[in-house]
Amino acid sequence: MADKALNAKKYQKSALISDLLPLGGLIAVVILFGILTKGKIFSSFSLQTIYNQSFLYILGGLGCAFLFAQGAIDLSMGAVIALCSILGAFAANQYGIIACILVCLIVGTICGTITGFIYSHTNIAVFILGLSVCFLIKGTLYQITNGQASISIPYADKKMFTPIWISAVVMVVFALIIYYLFEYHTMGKHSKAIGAGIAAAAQSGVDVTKIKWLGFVISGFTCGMVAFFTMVKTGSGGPATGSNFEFNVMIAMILGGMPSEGGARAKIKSCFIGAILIAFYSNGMVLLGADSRVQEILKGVVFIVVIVGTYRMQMQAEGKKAFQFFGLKLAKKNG
Amino acid sequence: MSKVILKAENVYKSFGLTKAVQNFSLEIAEGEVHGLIGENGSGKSTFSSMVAGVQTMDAGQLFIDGEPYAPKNAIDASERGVSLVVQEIGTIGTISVAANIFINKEKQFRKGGMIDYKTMYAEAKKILKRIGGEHLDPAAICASLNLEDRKLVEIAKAMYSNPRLLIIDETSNALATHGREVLYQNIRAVKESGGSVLFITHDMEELIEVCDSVTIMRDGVYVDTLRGDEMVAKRLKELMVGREIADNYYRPDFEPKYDADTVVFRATDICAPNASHVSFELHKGEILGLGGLADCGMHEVGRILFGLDRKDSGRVELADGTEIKTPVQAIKLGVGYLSKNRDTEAVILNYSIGDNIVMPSLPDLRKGPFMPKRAEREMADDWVDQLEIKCNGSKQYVKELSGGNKQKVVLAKWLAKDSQILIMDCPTRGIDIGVKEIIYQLMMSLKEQGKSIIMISEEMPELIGMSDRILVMKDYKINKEILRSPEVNEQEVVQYMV
Repeated sequence: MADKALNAKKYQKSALISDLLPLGGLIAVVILFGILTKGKIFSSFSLQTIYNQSFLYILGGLGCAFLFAQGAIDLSMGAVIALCSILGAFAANQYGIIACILVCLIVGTICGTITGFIYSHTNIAVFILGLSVCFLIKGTLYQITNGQASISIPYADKKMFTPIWISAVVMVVFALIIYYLFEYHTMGKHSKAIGAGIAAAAQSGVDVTKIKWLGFVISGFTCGMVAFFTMVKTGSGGPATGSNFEFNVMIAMILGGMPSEGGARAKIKSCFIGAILIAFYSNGMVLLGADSRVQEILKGVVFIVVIVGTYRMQMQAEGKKAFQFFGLKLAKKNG
Repeated sequence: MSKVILKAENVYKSFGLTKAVQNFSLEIAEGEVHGLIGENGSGKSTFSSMVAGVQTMDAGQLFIDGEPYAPKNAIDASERGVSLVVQEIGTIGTISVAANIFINKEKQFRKGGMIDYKTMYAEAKKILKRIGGEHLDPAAICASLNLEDRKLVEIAKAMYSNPRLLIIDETSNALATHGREVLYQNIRAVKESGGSVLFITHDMEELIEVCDSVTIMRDGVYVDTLRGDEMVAKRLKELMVGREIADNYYRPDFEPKYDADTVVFRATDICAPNASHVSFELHKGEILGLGGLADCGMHEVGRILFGLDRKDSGRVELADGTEIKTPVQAIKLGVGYLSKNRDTEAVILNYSIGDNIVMPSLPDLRKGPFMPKRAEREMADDWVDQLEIKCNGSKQYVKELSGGNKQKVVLAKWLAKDSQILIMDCPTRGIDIGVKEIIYQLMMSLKEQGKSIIMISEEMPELIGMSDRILVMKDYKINKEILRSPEVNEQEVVQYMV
């Protein structure tokens, strides 16, 4: 039926609009700061800073993308990163850089496995679990480090991994693997199904326990990776490494268009869009000479506006409720 | 002509691309019980929720007692004397019965800045008694009540304000005999007090008995209004569906017809909190009915068979002895399950039709390490076409479909997976005749293909009309096995249930 085909097309169009909103936001921010800083933001130094800032958050976002798709979050990320970095730094000094990498990845994976086991086998609320694990690890760390602020890694090792191409290759490869798992593998499909409706997912052949568990394992592994690259960046690992990491990742993901309840609209590109958007914003503000406190205040305002706006526009694209936002009417009402 | 209470003129409403109600007009007179029928997705609930202020109209006008009426929300509506009892659960589970009844009307019980619960409970008790729910405790938390009692709370809430217009949307589905009596008694009370009732139901007999007149809707459009003696079940059904339909859409044959020598599925001595020593065998090409009262344990047995719930002892296995312990295993072994809670368990509402259909088949579709998107889409489109699911394509979200079409999605899911054994829990609950007929036909064709079905149902005609064998459950036990024959009648089956 021609009518049906037309309807389907219209429907896809409205879905597309809501899909493209976060990308539109990113482009708007880039253009805005491009103009305000008279192009200074595109200097190679500035771009490099932006890359360095967004790189870790992109990794982190990719790592917990499955949990986000399930409608869960991993609030223990920062603590796990701290743990990995301390043990990693220790290993680097004792046995060399390869041992450091292995320790980071293994410790991260073990943490994720344990947290994931508890999460998938009990009814504990995911944020309570994350916070508890976070306290547990942080407390232990301050005990064992005896208040020592951080452990440095040998400069030669740091130097060896500093070149941008190494982190870029790692990021691209990791992103491709995650993208494959997310879109072309049951891992991603089932994660999204859990976010969209857990009971129905379980009755459609989703192994809910396994998928929830694996979500944390992947997140833990990623924490190990992030811990290593944080050490490469700062030259040391300590109890404060990675603090607030989980919240920054969360903000980036939401800004990138990741729905907080997970489900079908969860997309991998959100990890990139959100992290880059924040990096552009922070650098733009620095280049404009904004006071750091003013920056924070504006950040809060901008985030609220963006999130409310995105949400409303998505609602409208779905034809839920007509609305006007700052006098702007982007999607035409259907029907 | 008596006074008109509700008048609707040229009402329109769309959801995205779905035109739910188009150019719909209706008049309900004082003291009239007016029925509203139509297939799932014909716009009945949409219309009634607009009258009750739950949704807003796109265009058109409403009048109550001749005064223009445009409720912005349910509070507006209730101030104008319109109360709604909804199709789904309309009470809040985490607060008490009394708090539900007086929601948004708590002010009257305020005493020095606090709510005087004693007076509130006493008042609630009075209302519950008036409507026929005196067995309910006003202080009980709503979630602790069964579905029927929760409906009674809702009726109490609606009746409390002495409504001019009481709207009842497919509530009787959730009610057993006593509950229905209570409902009818309240309908009469509204009628006698000079109010009117808008009554939405799928049950023809009930409709004809309770209503003075009935309006038929189809695809969001007004079809006809019948009054008094014009209301004949067959005529109503035809107007609803828009074509002639057979009087009897169940199986035409009256002999059990299945391969009695080939067992495909076996349950042995299952014990669980709601099942005691349940054993049976399912044969190739058999429709096995599992009947009983709602709380006889049959729904729980269905869940156990699919590996959803834990059992204390016993074994569920295929003919070759492979045990089924989890849904993942069950699906792999070719067992499918249709939950009676369609919206929460059988379909993922915020997920596309296509994704819902292919979900159990994903492991089969996989080619090497990759999941071919094209194969997924083709499978989904194929089943959308085959079952004629009314939608804007397989990318549409399931939540936008009507009940019958959602059920088609659930069926498509298991047909696509080519499941050999289907456990159907209330496969036609809340589904209109048109889709019901299709589901029965589908069950027959599955049977002819040699697939086996366990049909759990509370509906007598369906059990008798479709099953080769009926297992009647009572008090968590299988009480009686009845073979298909022309002599089986409802009385006979019921006597083993109670």
